[in-house]
Amino acid sequence: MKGIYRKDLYQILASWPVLLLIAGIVTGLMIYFDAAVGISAFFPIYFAMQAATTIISDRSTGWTRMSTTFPITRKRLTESKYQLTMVSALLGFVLGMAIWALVSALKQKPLDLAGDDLQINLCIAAIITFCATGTLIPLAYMAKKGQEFITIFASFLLPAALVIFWSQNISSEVTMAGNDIISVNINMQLPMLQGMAIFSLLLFVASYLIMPAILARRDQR
Amino acid sequence: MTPALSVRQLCKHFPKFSLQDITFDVPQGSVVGLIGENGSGKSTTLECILGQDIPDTGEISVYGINPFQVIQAHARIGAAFDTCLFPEVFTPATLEKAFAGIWPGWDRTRWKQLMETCGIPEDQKIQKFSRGMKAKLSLAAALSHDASLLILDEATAGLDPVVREEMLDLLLDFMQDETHSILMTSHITSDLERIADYIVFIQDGRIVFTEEKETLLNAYGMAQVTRDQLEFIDGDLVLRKRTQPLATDLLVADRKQFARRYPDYAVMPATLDEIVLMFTKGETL
Repeated sequence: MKGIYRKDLYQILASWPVLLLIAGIVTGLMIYFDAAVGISAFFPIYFAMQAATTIISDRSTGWTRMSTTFPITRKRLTESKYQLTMVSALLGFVLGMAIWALVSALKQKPLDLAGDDLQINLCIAAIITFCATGTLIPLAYMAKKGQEFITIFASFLLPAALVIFWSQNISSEVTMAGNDIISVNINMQLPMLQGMAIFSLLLFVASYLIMPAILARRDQR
Repeated sequence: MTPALSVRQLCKHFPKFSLQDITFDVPQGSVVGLIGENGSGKSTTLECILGQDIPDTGEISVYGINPFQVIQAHARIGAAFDTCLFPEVFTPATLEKAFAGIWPGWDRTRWKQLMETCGIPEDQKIQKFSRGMKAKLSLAAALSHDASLLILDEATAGLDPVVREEMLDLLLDFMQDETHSILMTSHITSDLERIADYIVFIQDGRIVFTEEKETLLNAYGMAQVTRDQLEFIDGDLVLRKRTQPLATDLLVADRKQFARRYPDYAVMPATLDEIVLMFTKGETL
């Protein structure tokens, strides 16, 4: 069984130059636009998606067909994708936080671990990571040949809708004294965002518990 | 003795095709060739055996164990296909590390041996391999985890005679162990004529016959008669006829008996290709 994880890891690392380039560009842009806290959100999403999209690679190379000859049930093979996604997301989170901390230290900015910015970014990361991969994994297995990349697009619809809904509910309250603005209070609807993050995690867990058994009973063709 | 593979009443229905009551055994120590025209159900049968498709009904057992209930039965199966199913960004060395953690009986020494025998460079990416090298790599992987039963789906398809010969040598070496068995599909009937012990012919999702290869090649015959001569032929001797522009081809089950009955008619040994063709394109007398 550990060979399955090894194979996925090698497969992800095989394209390390491209992965590094994309990570470098995104990180650089975030630092440039003074949004380094966004790095903490980017890396969990980025890493988790690499793990989930190994299913698409497996189908295109024929590895999925090969893997049914292994002494490993199809249910376990599918579960391994969910497990790898979780571990990858966690690693991404750790790396993202570490890079943000490093950038903050270099810029001599305080590391506000309790601040709203970090919480918002982590909640968005959780929503996108868990919603997208919780739907992508089963969709990728069920997609017809050639439609696998459509599943990536489809898997982002729900998290995008959630984030957009949240952003539409952000409100601001302006306190005026005469014609002068005294204060502006922006309500970021953090509880709503946190609720969405929890919902996304539950969706992922439900997908993990239900889908492997269902997918194992389907023909591979 | 428990067969290496036993298939009983296997049925699988698709919208435009069905496997119906597929029943055959692969005895231990034997090579069974599964032949038939394209779309006859050979690969579907193997896919059901390997669990890639879920059979509707029927029973499959590998050395007496149902692999759908006890997945560890797959540890005794080595499979190779007509295409290389490994990630092409991998090298054989990377592949070996993955397989070592998948197959309980993975034999690194055997793998290294096979890499050397087959001339496969271990540190070169698979995407740079020729078709022949990929085929040998697939077979090497199937042979390196102490499998007792090989299932080969057109594993020699599209290969030149030299590579095919090398692969057949590996299979013959595999069969040195009398508990080993092979089930293979192939359109290259000369390969089957060389190594198969039994031939199973499948047509339109049904088994037409299961016969020892020696019986097929030693007993079956092809005769060619005119339309006039055909009237005098005993239909009991003829399995299939095929009307051609100038003559009628006959497939007979016992060419010696046919020759005794009709000494003036030439009857030649039938090749597997001719047998498949006659069963596919011919009709009963």
